[in-house]
Amino acid sequence: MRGPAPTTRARSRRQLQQNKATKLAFHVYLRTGLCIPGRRTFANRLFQLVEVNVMKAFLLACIAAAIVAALAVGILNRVQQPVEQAFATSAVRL
Amino acid sequence: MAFFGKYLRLVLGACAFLLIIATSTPSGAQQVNPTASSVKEQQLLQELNRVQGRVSIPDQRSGVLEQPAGRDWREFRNVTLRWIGGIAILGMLAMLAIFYLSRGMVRLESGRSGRSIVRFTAFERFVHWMTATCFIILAISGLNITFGRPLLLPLIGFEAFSEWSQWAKYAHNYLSFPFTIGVVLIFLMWIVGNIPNKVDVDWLKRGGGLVGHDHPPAYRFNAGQKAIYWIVVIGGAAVAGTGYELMFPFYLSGIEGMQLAEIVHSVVAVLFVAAMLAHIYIGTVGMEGAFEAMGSGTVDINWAKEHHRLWLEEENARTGANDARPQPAATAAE
Repeated sequence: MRGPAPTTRARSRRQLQQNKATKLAFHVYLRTGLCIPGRRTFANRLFQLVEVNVMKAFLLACIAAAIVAALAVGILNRVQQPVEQAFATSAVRL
Repeated sequence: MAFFGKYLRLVLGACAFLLIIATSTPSGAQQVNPTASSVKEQQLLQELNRVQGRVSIPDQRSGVLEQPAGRDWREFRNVTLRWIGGIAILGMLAMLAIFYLSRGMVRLESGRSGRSIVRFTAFERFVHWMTATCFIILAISGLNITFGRPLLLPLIGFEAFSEWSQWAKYAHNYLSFPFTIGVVLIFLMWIVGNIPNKVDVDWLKRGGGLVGHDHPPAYRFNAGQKAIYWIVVIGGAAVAGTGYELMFPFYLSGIEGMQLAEIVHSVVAVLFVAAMLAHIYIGTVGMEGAFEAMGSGTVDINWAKEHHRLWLEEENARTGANDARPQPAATAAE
C-alpha cells in the first residue's frame, strides 16, 4: 500500500509556491517573520493547513449562510415589532 | 455680678447656637439623603417579595419593578456565568496548549501513500462549513454579551463598543437560522455513523491513539468524533431552542421562563465553545492529515488505515480495494 517516499521539506516549500494565489501570501508570510523557512514551526504548519485547498464548499457555505440570514432579516422584521411600537400607547394616565 | 450675667448670656447663646445646628443637621440630611428611599424599597421587597405597581402602557408586565428571581438571575449573569465561561474556555485552551507541547502533532506514522480516498462529499463539507462559520460568529458575538463589558469596553471605549455590540447582536440573531439548519442537516446526515457501539468502548480504553502511538480501530467516526457529533446535535438543539425563546419575548413563556432559558442558553453555549476548541485543534494542528478531510474531502489511504481502519475496510469491500485515486502532485506533504 505504501506509495512514494514522504516528500522533503524543501519540496513541500516548492509546492507551496507553485500556486499563484499562495505565492504572494507566502511572500508576505515570510516577511512577517512568523515562520522560519525549513523548520517545523507552529505557524508553518497552520499556514500549510489553511492554504492547501481552495475550499469551494467553504465559500458556498458562507454564501448560503448569508442568504439564509438575509431571509431571516425579512421574516423577523415582519414578525417582531420595534420597542417604540410594541410598548407604545396613544394616551397616558397621570 | 454684671460680669457673671454677661458670662451666662454668652454660655446660653453658645448652647442655643449648638442646639440649632444639632436640630437642623438631620432634617437637611433627610432632604438630600438618596439612600433613605432605597432602604424603604429594600424593606418593601423583603416584606412583599416583589415591588410592583400599575402602569398606563399596554404591557402590564412592566409594572413589576423588582422580583427575587430577577436578582438571582442578575447575580448569575454578572458573576457565576463569567466564572463558568472563563474556566471552561481558558481551561480548555490551557489543556490543549499543554497537550500540544507534550504530545505534539499526531503524525502519520507510516507516511503518505500517495493515494487518497473520499472521506466527505461536497455536500457534507458544505453543511459542515456553513454550520462552523455561523458557529464562530455566534460564539464571538455571544461571548461579547457575557465578557464584552468587562474586557472589551475598557479597551475600545463606549462608542465603538456600542456600535460593535449592536452589529454583533444582529449577526447573532440572523445567523442563528443558517446555524440551526446546519445542525438539523448534520443530525440527519451523520446519525447512521454516530450510534455508539462496542468498538467505541475499545477505542476509549486505548486512549483513542492520542496517548502513545496506538491506533485503535474505528469505523467512519471514532468515539471522539461521535462525542463531538452528539455535543453539536444536543448542544445545538439546546442553544437554538432557548435562543428562539429569547428572540421572541413572552411568546412562549413569562419572565421566569425566559430567565431560565437565558441560563441554559449561556451555560450550554460556553461549554459548546470549549468543546469546539478541542474539535478545531484536533482537526487542524493536532493531527496530520485531518484537515484535508474537510478541506478537499479526501484523505490519504495511510491516514484512513491508521485512524479509521474498519471504515477503510468497509469502503474497500464496497468499491474494490484498488479504487483509491492517486493524490494530486501539488498536495503538500510532510
